[in-house]
Amino acid sequence: MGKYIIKRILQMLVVVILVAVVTFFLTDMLPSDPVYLIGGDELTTEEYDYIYHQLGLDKPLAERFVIWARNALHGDFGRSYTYHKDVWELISARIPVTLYLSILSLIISVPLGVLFGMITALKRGTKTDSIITLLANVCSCLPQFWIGICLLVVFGLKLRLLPSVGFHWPGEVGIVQHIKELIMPLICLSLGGVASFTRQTRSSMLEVIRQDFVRTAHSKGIKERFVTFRHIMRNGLIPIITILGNRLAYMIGGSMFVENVFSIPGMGTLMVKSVSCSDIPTIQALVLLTTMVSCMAYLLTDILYVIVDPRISLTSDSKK
Amino acid sequence: MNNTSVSNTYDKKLARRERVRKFLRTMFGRKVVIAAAVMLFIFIFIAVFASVLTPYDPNITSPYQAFEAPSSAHWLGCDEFGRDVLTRLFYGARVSLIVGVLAVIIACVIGVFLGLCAAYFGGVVDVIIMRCSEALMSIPRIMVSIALIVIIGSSITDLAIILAIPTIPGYIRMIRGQALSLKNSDYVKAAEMQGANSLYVMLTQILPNAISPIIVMMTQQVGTTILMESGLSYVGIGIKIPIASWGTMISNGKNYLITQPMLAIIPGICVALLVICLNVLGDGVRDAMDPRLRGEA
Repeated sequence: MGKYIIKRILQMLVVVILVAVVTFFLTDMLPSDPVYLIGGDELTTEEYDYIYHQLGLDKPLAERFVIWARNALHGDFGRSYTYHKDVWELISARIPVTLYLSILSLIISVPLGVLFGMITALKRGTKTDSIITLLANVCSCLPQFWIGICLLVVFGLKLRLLPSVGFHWPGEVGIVQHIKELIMPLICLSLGGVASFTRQTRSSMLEVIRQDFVRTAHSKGIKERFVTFRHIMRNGLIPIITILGNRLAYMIGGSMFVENVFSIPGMGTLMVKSVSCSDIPTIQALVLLTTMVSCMAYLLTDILYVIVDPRISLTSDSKK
Repeated sequence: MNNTSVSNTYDKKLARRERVRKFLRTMFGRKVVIAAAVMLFIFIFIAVFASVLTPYDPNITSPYQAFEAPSSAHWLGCDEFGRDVLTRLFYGARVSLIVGVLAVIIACVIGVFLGLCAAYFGGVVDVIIMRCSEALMSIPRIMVSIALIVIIGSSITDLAIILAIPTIPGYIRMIRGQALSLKNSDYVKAAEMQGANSLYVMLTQILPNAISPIIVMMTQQVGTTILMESGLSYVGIGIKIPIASWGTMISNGKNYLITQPMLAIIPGICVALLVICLNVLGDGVRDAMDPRLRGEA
C-alpha cells in the first residue's frame, strides 16, 4: 500500500512538471507582447527596454523557465499584467470560493445521485425507472449556465425570493443571506452531477445484479433486503468512487460558467478575465494550480478505491 | 471453382447488407431515436440552408426595431440591436454543428493515429504517448481549452481544434486498449509475415476491428463539445460577438433579463434540444453496435 501511494505521488509529480513545462513554453509563444500589456501602447524605446529587462525577457527561454519554476515553488507566480498585483494574492483569495462551491455541490450530488441510481436499478423497467432515467438524461444535456439564467429569471427577478448575484462568506453577511446566495449556484452546479451519478450508479448496480453471486444469494433464500444492501450495493457502489475525482476536477473547471452567471468572484471568473486580457502569469498559475488540485483529487480517489476494493491490489497496478 | 468464388462474394455482399439492415433496425428500434434523428435532420437542414430560409441578415442592425415583439415578420421578435432572433438562431445552429462535428473528427483522427502508434510500436513510443496523454487528462478539460484559446485564437476552426485537444487522450486510450488485444491475433501476424508495412497493418488490419467503440465515443462527444462551445461563447472567450452563436446570444440576452428574458432563454432551449438529440442518437448507435445488447455475444 505504501509503495503504491509513493509510486502514484511520483507519477503525479511527473505529470505536474510536464504540465508546468508545457504551459510555460506555450504561453511564451503568445502573439501579444507583454511589455505593451503592462506599459500601455505608447512607450518610448527606453521605457520599452526597461520593462523588457525587468521582466527578464532578455534572458534565454530555458533560464526564464528555471527562474519561474523556482519562484513558483516558493509560491511566487509573478505579477499579474492586468491587475498589477501579485498573482498568488489574486488567486489565494479566489481558490477557497471555487473549492467551497465545488465540494459543497459534490456533497449534495453524490448522495442524491446514488439514491436515484439505486431506485432506478432496483425498480428497473418500471415507470419510476423510466421517468428518473429520462430526467437524468435530459439534465445532463442542459447547459449549466443556462439553467442558472432560468433560475435567475424565475427566483431572482420574477419571484424575488433569492438574491440574484454575489457571493459573500457567512462572516460578512450572516448565515441566512449566505445560504440564500448559495442556493441557485449550487443547484446549477449539482444538477449535472446528480444526473451523472444517477446514470453511473444505475449502470454499475445493474451490472452487479446480473452477477452469479447475486443469483446464488437469492437462490439460497437470503432476504431480499439483505441481498440488496450486502451484495448489490456494496459491490455496485465501488465504481462510483472512481468518478468522484473526475467529477471534482470537472466542477472546478465548470464552475466558471456558474460563477459568471451569478457574479461570484472565484477562479473561473479570474481565468476568463485573464484569458481575455492575455494575462500570462495568471493563466500559468491557474492552469498549474487546477492541475495540482485535480491530480490530488484523482490520487485520493485511487487510494480510496484500493482501500474499498481489495480485488484491485498492487499487482494489477504494475500492469498499468 | 470460379463459380463458388462468385457465389462467395455474393454471399459476403448479402451478409454485409444484412448486417447493415440489422444495425439500422436495432438503432431505430426505439421511437425516441427516430424522433431524435428527425430533429437532428431539421437542425442540419436549418444550418445548411440558413441563408435561404430567412430573408434577414443575422448581423445587420436596425436600431428602430430593437426589442420588437414577435410578429408575422419576425417570428421570435428582435434583439437589442433590432436583429431578427430567429435568423440568428438559424446561423447559430451552423456554428454549433460545425464546431461540434469538426472537433470530434479532429480528435478522433489524431487520437486514433497516436493510439495505434502507441499500441503497435510499444516501448518508448508507447511510454511517451501515454505519459503525455495522462498529463493532458489531469488538467480539467475546460482549463485546457481556455488556456489554448489564448494561444490559438477563437475563430470557428480554432475553437474546434481547442475543444478537440482535451478529448484526444480518451480516443488514444480506447484505441490502444483495443489494438493491444488485436495485435497478437492471427490475421495481424499473417499480414506481417506477408511483408506488409506497419502503417498498412495498422490501418487495414487493426483499425477496422477496433473502430466500433470509437464510433460510439464520437457520437457521444459531439453533444458535449457543443455544450462546451456554447459555454465558452457565453463567458465571452469563444465565438466573438458579431458572429451569431447560441452562446453569445445567451450572454447578450443576459443584459435584458428583466424586460426580455426570452432573448436569453430561447437560444438555451436550442442548445439543450440539439444536445439531447445527439445524445439519444449516440445511445442508439451504441445499442446497435454493442453486440451484447444486440443479442449475439
